[in-house]
Amino acid sequence: MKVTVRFLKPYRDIVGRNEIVLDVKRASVRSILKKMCVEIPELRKEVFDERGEVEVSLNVIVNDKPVTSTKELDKALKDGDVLTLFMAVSGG
Amino acid sequence: MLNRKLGIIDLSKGKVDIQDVPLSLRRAYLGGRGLNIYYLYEMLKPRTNPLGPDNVLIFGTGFMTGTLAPSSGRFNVSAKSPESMIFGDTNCGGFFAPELRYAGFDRLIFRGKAKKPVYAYVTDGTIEIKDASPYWGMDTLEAQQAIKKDIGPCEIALCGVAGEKLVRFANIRTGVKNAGGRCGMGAVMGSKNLKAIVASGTMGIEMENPEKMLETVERIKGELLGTKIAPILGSVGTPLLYEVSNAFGAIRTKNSQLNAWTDKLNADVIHKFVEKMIACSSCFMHCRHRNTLGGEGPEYTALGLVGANIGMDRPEDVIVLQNICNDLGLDISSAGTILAWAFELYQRGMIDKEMTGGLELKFGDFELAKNLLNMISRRKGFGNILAESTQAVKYFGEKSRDYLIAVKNLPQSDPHDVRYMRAFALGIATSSRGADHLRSRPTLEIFFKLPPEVKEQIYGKGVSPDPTSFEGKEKVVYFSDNIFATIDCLGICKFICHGFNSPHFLKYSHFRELILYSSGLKFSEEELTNVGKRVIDTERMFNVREGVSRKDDTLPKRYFDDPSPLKTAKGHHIDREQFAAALSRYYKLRGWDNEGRVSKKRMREIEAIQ
Repeated sequence: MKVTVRFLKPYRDIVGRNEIVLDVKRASVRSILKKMCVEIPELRKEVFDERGEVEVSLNVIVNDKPVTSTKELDKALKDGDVLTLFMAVSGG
Repeated sequence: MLNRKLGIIDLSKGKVDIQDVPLSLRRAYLGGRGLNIYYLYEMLKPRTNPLGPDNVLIFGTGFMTGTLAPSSGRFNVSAKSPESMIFGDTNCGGFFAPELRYAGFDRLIFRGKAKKPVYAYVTDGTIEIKDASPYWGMDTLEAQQAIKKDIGPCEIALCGVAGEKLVRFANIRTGVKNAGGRCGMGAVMGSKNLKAIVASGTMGIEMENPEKMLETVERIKGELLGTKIAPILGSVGTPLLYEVSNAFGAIRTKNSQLNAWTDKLNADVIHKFVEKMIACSSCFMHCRHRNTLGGEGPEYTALGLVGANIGMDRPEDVIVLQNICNDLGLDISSAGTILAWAFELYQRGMIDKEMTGGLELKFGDFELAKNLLNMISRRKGFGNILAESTQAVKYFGEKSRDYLIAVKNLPQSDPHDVRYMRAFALGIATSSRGADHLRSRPTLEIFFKLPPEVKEQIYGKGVSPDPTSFEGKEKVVYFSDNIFATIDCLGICKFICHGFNSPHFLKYSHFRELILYSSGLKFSEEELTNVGKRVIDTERMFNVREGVSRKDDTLPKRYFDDPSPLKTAKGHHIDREQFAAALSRYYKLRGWDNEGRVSKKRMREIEAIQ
């Protein structure tokens, strides 16, 4: 199945592309993030913290729904799903 | 540290009175926004004309301002607002406030009206009222240059011609870009014939325990710079948010008729116009830009309000418009909201060329926007109507309110379309100065994966992780309200506050240490939380006295009735019943009755503070 991963800044700066399309047998958000970090090692320190958990400042939207718990990181994705990665930040 | 004075300047009589601030007041309200509302509530009679001589205008530095405490260069200016006609308060960074403290003062209160244009010159314990007629008629950059040429090195807080002309959203400015933007405080200056406050001082601020203060600041610096967000804010600044909000469908676009706009205003594009990143006084984050088009900025707010909201899609146009607003001394939030409002009304045929003086209003017209900003600042032609801000309803007709993005007559400050984030919506509805995100922006709501146990520790039980749910969100707004009020009393920037951009930023425990080592005063975390609560209750007392009630803690009609049309936010709007229930729960947390009134017992307690 195909899963698209879109990167907003600052992750796009590390990956060097707006998006990547992955061809996988099965996937969850967590497995996709792990796979990305294997392919792009510079991404690891932004995506995972020292304990190996997904960084709290990294937000993921799956299609149009934000991932709002660590449990949802392990839910099965479907063919055609689009993940958008962005940093939690606010300001003025 | 505690020996900075209060200056009370009667501009009508030309008299200056210098006083000490009792320790009991500093303990109750600390400084900044807190001591400002204390004095304003005491000194101002209800229903005072905000552009008349009886309005009271207060410039107050924060408790920590001018020390080594990180990002502690801020001050508040408070008065009755000529824009909202209720409590007006604005917060500003830069270098003016530390200089005012080095000149021996942490608060200046202006009463009355000078017979002709004046400025207050503050230096090493003295305040003189001097002739400002050479600078009257100058905008903010020219006036600052002229004053510095005449006086020498100094820091200046001033109004532009917009303030002189009593434009209701004229702001107070310092430096190239720093602004006390909200609530028309520049117009209050103009109404008093007060052009500027000029500060120049050599009086150092003595620390109670300099070694521990240095050690604490060094440790905090390491903690701040070790977060993920600090390097990002420091390298691209708040334009980073534009792309994120756009992806969501949370950008106010064309007067919130849409909620997403072009990618051409993303941070990567904007950064091509940036010469370097710079900072305010004592700040490690350096999140501000010097742009290549003659100014500083843009912030995310500018990209939204004089970008997407008025249909601009060229980054250079947006940067020039925000440079113009800064020079003219116009609040960007109000300017962008009022222009967009007028453009939509014209689009709908509710106003016509007879009203606009022959101008055809449309979104996306750079030359039109530029001309209108200049016309507003001089109150010329249609600009004279727009200069009335939300009070232009008297010209546009009552039905025009349906399209106005404002709360309590203050145009919404930030570019976020809050139909998706329910806590953000509750925050702008309950903000004490009107539709403003900086009273209580509960930013931890966008840390979508914040572990439940962490959330519970911060807010208590029962807060839904779903940003589109109102469940428990009164707790989120309540927490943020309180900590932001306390940090405004300290004069520290919210960008490094816990709850604003990272759960790892400054908490009450940090505030305790900074206060202790700088001043020797001991506060528990509960006492510091109570300072924030006291400030919010006093502001509410002021507003209720001016006629504010539950009906005013609401949202623009569009947010209730028009679902967001695009992207992740598509279909979302604010349900009136759910909102009303959340508002009631918020009042209960505050200890207010169901009309949003502070209890009589609490009022007596606050009014007894002297």
